[in-house]
Amino acid sequence: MIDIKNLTKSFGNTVAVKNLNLYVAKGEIYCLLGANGAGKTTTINSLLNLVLPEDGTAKIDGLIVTDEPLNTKEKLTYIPENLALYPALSGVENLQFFCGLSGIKLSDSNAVSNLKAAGLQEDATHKRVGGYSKGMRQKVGIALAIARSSEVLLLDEPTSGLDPAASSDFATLLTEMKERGAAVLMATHDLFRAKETGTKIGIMNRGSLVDELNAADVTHSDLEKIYLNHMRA
Amino acid sequence: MNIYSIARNQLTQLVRDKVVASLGLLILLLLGISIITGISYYSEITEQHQEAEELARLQWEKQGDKNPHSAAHYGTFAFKPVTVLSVFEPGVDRYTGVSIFLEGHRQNFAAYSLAEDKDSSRRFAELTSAFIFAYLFPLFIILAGYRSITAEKESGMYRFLKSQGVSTGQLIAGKSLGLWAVILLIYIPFLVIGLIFLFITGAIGDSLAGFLFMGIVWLLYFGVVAHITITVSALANSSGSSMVVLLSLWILSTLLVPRLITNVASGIHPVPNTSEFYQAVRTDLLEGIDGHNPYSEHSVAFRDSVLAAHRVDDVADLPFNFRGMMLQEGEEFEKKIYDHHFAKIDEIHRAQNRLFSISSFLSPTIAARMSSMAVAGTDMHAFNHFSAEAEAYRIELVRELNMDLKINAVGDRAVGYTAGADFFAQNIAFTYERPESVFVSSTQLMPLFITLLWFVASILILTVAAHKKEEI
Repeated sequence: MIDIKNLTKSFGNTVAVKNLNLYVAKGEIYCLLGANGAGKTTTINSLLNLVLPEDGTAKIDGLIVTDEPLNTKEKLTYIPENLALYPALSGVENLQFFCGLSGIKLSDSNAVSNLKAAGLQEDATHKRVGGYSKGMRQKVGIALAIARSSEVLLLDEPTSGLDPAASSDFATLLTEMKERGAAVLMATHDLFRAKETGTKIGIMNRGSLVDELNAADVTHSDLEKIYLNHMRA
Repeated sequence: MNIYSIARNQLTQLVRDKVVASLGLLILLLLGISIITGISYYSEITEQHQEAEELARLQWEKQGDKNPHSAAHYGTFAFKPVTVLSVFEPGVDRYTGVSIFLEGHRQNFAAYSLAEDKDSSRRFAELTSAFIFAYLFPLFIILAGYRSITAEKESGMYRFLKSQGVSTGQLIAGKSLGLWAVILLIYIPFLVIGLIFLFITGAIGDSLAGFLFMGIVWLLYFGVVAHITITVSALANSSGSSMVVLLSLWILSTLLVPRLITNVASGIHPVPNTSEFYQAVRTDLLEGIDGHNPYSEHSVAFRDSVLAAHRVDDVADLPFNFRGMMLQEGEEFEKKIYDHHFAKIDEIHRAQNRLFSISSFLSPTIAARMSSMAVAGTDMHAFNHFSAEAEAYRIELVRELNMDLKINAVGDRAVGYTAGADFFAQNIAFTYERPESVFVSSTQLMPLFITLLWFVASILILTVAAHKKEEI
C-alpha cells in the first residue's frame, strides 16, 4: 500500500533521507523509530508531497505521489503530533469541514457516530474544539480517517504528550484501523507503543533505514537494546 | 468545492470571533447613527434652503418700484440644493458654501459654508457613511483578515490542509471569499436601508443610479482592502508582522498620502486669496467700460462710437436709453474679466484635482472617495456646475434689467425711471437642475477608473501571491 523505493532527500548539505526503501502492506502498522533528525518526518512529508525527493519514488496504492498528489492524498489521512483543528468550531463542524474538502458531505448524526467510533464522548462532539485535550483532538483525526475510509494513515508522533490512558486509547484505535484494512505508517519515539501496536518496526538513523523488525519477534527489552545500539553506532 | 468549504468555514469562524463580531456590530451601529444624523441633517438643510429660496424670491418680487439697475445692485441669491445622496456622502458641500449672492457688475464666490457652523450637532453630523467606509471599514477588514493565512501557518493547519489536498490557491481564494462574505454581512443591510430611504423620500428615480454607483465604488474599495489583507497575510511570516504591514498601509493610504497630496497640490498650484483675486479683477476692469462712469476714457469712446453709428450728437437723441446700453456694455465687459479670472481659479482647481486623481494611484482611499463624491454629486465638479448655472442666471437677470432700462427709460420717462412690482415678478427665477447623468464631467471618470484598476490589481497581486506560495 505504501511503497517507498530508493528515496533520497537533502536540505542543503544535510541528507535527510538516504536511499530509503520501505513497504507497508494493508492491515499493517509500521512504526518508524529514530532520534530527532533521523528522517522520519521527511519520509512522511515525501508521502504527503510536501517535499520533493531528489531521487527515488514514494507510492501510495500504486500511485506515484509526485505524479498524482491529489489522488494519493484522497487515499490517506495525516495526523501530526499536534493536530490543527479550528478552535471556534465544534468537533462535528471540524469533521464536516475536513470531510467537505474531500467532497464528503457528513450529516450531523454521521459526524457524531464517526467521532464516537473514534472514542470521543458524545457530549463533547458538539463542543468547540478550543476546549479539547490533545487526546480528544487526536481522536478527531482518527474520526476523519474513519469518515474518509482512508486506506492509509500517516502519523507523525501522534502519541507524543498524551497521558498513558489516552495513548493506550489511541493505540486501540490504530489497531481497529488496522483491522479495517488500513496501512498505517507511524513515526514515533515511543518504543513501548511501537512494540505494542506495530506489526513492523523500522529504525532510522541519519536518514537511513538501519533495521527492520517484526514486532512480534522481539521483546520490549530486545527492542530497546537494538534501538540503542543503532543510535550509538 | 474546497474553496466554498474554506470560505464557509472562514465566515463561521469570523462570526464566532468575539473581537470581529463586536467590531462588526460597532460598525453597523456607527453606520446606523451616520444614516440617522445624515437624514436629519439633510431634512434640516433642505427645509432651510427652501425657506431661504422662497424668502429671497419674495424679497425680489416685493422690492417695490425701483430703477432696474438699482435692483441689480439690490441683488438676490442662488441656493445649491442638497442632494439626497449627500446623506451618505456629503463630499465638499460643507466646505464650498451653499449660496451665491448675485448682483450687477460682480461675480461672487459662494458663501456660508456649513463647516462654518461650529455647534456640536454639526460636528456629530460629520460621522458620515462615506467617512466610515473610507477610514473605519478598512480597519475592520484588516482586523478580520490579517490572520487569515498566518494563523493557519502558525497553528500547523496550513500543512494539515495541504495534506488534505488543498492547494495554496484554494486556501487563499476561500479565505478571500470568506472575508468578502463578512464584508457583505455588514454592507448589504446598509444598501437595503439606503434604498428604503431613497424610496421613502421619493428620490429613487433620480438617485438610484448614483446610489448604485456609490455602492459599487465602496464595494470595489472594500475588495481592494480585503485582497491586500489576504495577500499580506499569505506572504507574512507571522500574524504580528501581517498586522504591522497592514496598519502601515492603512495609515499610508488613508492619512499620509491624502495629507501629503493636499500640501503638494496647494504648494504647486496655490489658489490666490480673496483680496488678491479682487485686486487683480479691479486692475483689469480699469481697462474697459465702467457702466457707472460716463467720463472714463473707454466710456467716452464707446459713447462716441454709438452716437456716430446713429448719426446723432447727443445721447438724448438716441431712440433708446444710452445709460441702459452702457450699463449692459459694461456688464458684458466685466463678465469677460470675471470669466477670465474665475477661469484661472478654475484651472488651478482642475490642476489640483488632476494631481489628486493621479495620486489615486498611490492611495485607493483617494480614488474611492473621489469616485463616491462624484456619483453623489457632492464633489467640486458638481459645485462648479452649480456655480456656472448661477452665473449664467446672474448674467441673464442683469441683462433683463438693463434691457428694460434701455428700452423703456426713453423720452419723458428717462429721468427717474422705475420698474414696478409686475416687472420684478416676471423676472426669471433661478431653479437649479442637476444634470440627469450621474457624471457631470468626463474627468470624474478618472478616479472611478483608477478604483477599478486598484480592484483588478489587487486580484492580480493575490493571484501572484497564491502562485508564489504554491511554489514554496
